[in-house]
Amino acid sequence: MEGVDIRLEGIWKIYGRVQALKDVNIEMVGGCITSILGPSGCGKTTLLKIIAGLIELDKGRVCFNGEDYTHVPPEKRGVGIVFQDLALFPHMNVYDNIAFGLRARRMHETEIKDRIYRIMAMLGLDPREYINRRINELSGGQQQRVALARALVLEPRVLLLDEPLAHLDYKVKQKLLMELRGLQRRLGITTVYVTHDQYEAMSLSDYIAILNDGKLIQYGSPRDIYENPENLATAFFFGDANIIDSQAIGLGNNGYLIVRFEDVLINSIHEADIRLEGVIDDIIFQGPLIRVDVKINGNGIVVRALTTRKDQTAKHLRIGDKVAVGWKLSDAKILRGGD
Amino acid sequence: MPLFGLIPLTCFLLAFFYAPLLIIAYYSLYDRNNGALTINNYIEALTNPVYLSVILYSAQIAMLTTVITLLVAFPIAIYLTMYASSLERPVLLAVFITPFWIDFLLRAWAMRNMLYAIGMGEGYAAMMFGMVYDFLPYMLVPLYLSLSRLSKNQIDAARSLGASTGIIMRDLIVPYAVPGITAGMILVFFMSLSEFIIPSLLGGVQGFTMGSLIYNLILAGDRWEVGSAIALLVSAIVMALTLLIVFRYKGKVMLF
Repeated sequence: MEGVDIRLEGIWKIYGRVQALKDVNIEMVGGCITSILGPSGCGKTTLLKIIAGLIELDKGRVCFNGEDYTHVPPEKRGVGIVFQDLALFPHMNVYDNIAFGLRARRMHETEIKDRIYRIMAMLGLDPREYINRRINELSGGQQQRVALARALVLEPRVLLLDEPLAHLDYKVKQKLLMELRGLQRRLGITTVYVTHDQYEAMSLSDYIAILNDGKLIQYGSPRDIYENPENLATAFFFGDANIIDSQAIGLGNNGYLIVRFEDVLINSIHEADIRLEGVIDDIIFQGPLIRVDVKINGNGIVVRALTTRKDQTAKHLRIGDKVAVGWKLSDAKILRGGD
Repeated sequence: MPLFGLIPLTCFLLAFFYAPLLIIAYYSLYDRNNGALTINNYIEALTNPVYLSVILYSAQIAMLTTVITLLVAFPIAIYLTMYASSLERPVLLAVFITPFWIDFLLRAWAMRNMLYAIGMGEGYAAMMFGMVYDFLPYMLVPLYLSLSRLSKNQIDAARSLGASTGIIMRDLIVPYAVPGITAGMILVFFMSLSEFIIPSLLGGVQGFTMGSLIYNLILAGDRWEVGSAIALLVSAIVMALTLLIVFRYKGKVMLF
């Protein structure tokens, strides 16, 4: 099945004096997961609701497969949505929650039952065990599945997810994230995933749109954006990077130097093009990785480096040690402040 | 041991809350001819057709007040919870609630002057107007509270699932409102049933309700033992009805 392409053209949304969205243009490839990533208040949920038709836009167009859907009402868009708070109906049982959309479409009860059993089985909820359960008798992960089932049972062409995993424990979140990825692959449904969590966005998405202050600041594949942040906000927000004022380390008044933590060399310093002397300020054990913070002599800038737990020389580093850090010029990127 | 904590509260309630009631109970059983105890006052209260018709008339007024209050409060509560902006909401709530900081009697008197000024005078309509105005917050607040548990996202989810306004009303708004509706109806019905000031200030000749009857019997007509019997009978019915509703709908209405 080919997913629907979604094209957002010059979207503006203004609430009173607040510009929630400013000229947002995104082409979402059919059948792919596109994440909208950004800090809270950046307009990402507003954008999602505009795609769903739940919020009117002030200017711009929403197109599905090239067709103008800007003024199509939500129920006619073939869009399934899962909200951050799930928005389940707690006064109904699991069955009635999932049946809600089918009943609103006046589908025959026997077909409704059929579809509900199928979708529940697909989402790993045993229908015999769960159909009569009340929503508040379910765990967070199960509620999540019910919300997904309620949206997917209508066989939408587009699936919209608004931080649906935000309230779950780490382990449950990881599990559901991978399930979601598998499910999306199987269904081939165009999926838009709104999140403020860069790791969720990275591990789930084919494409990521980074939104900041109502503006699209970068769009691309996760790897693309990670390796080539086009502006300071992206560098700051997406992945961890040292953002160093180039003047402070004597590299002229060019702007800011962006160096990923893992690109900072702390041992094989002979490979580095830029070298700085400093003292270890802190060592933070992160499981597979170890972060070493080095305070550069003279200017007090802290450069952060990542080494692996397996790295034998890093094992001997202690707080207070004098070390040299550096990086290859090819691993550094220079961005100007205004970017 | 833990029950010891209840002793001070129980004593307080007994002394200041139940003692007056016990005195009224004693009055209602008092035989004014010989000072002995009797149930004749109750028999008179139940058999005198005038008393009965006044009580039924009061019940009818209370019922109408309850229904009109609900009809007025429902759209206001929906507007407050679903459409009002976060700036509008507290302002509107204040608009509905602040008049109730003013003394009840003063408000009723002011209302009477206003109704006369606009040529409505006193009578049945004026009385209903005053009742609905005065009891509105008791319906509005519980309704508002129970509807505010319904989130904008739930409505949006329903819309996106294809639900019409009718379905949203039937399957979401009403079920969420029911606990507030029951609470509001119980409050408004029983308060308006025994309301005395508004009917007598605004109702004119049509304002002769149970409150006026009891007032007349006890204070004006010197039939305080029959007045007490009527008051207690009606209290008993009210209490029985409340308990019936509360237990009947327990678990069914206060679902979540």
